[in-house]
Amino acid sequence: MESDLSKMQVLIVDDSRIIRKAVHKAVTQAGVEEGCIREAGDGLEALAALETSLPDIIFLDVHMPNMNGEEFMEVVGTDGRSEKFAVVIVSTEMNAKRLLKLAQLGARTRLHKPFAPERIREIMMEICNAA
Amino acid sequence: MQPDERDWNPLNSDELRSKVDAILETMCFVIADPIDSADIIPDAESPSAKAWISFGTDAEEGVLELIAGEDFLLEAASGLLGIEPDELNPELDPGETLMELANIIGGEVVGVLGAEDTTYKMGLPSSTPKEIADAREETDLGFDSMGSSFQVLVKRRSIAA
Repeated sequence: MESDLSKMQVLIVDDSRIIRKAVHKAVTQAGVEEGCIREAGDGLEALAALETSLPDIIFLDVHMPNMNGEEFMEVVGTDGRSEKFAVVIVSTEMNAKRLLKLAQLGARTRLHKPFAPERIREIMMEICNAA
Repeated sequence: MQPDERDWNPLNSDELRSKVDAILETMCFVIADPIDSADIIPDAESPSAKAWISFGTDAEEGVLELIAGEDFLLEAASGLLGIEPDELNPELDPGETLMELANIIGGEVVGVLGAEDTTYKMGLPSSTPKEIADAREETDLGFDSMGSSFQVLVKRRSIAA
């Protein structure tokens, strides 16, 4: 039986409004209800969003101003919050050392840009089924 | 002092062209044909948009410049967002799509250069011109989709030790 993604709480963190829109659309096409999706423009905004409630899954860009994805992961990895949600790194990053560090800080998987919108649903299903 | 020739890692333009093709098709649903950049004629009726991103290591610095025709960019933005061109926000969506293409293609440029093993610093995409003086290598790739062009320029230079 297919997992129901409709109530999955999703946080999209990217400084590019156009990528937030594209990921947002792909997440809704995967079946998530509009009210379950939040957005943040950098790591600082994402930390503020976590104060309200913890999501089930975070789509996290790496290269952002103010607080980048690695710095965000250092905060939530150190205080243990990264164990309570799945972080998907959405980035062009391909340096093996940097990707290993992000994984060590708690990132679950990686969505390499460029990506086809269907990959968002596949990754969400994998995370949902592994929970 | 120019570093030894053996230290210079040339950008494989065929590999980059293939990566750009894949980006346009996978994320923007644009099927573009390769063209010679020299054949691109600026269209005064339909001005081009530009975006830049810088990259580098301790040994080199580089700049990627993208130049996109208005119709090409509308098609790319429409594909990226999965909406019809007339549903786009014309003030924001095309320009932000070009910036994101700079980010993604910039990532592929350093990937082709060997970013898996070498740590490259990437800047943030910008609409402010960036220039490399005395470039040691220039790569210029042209694309066309339904009569509207897209140009990818990469300039790199060594940093003296």
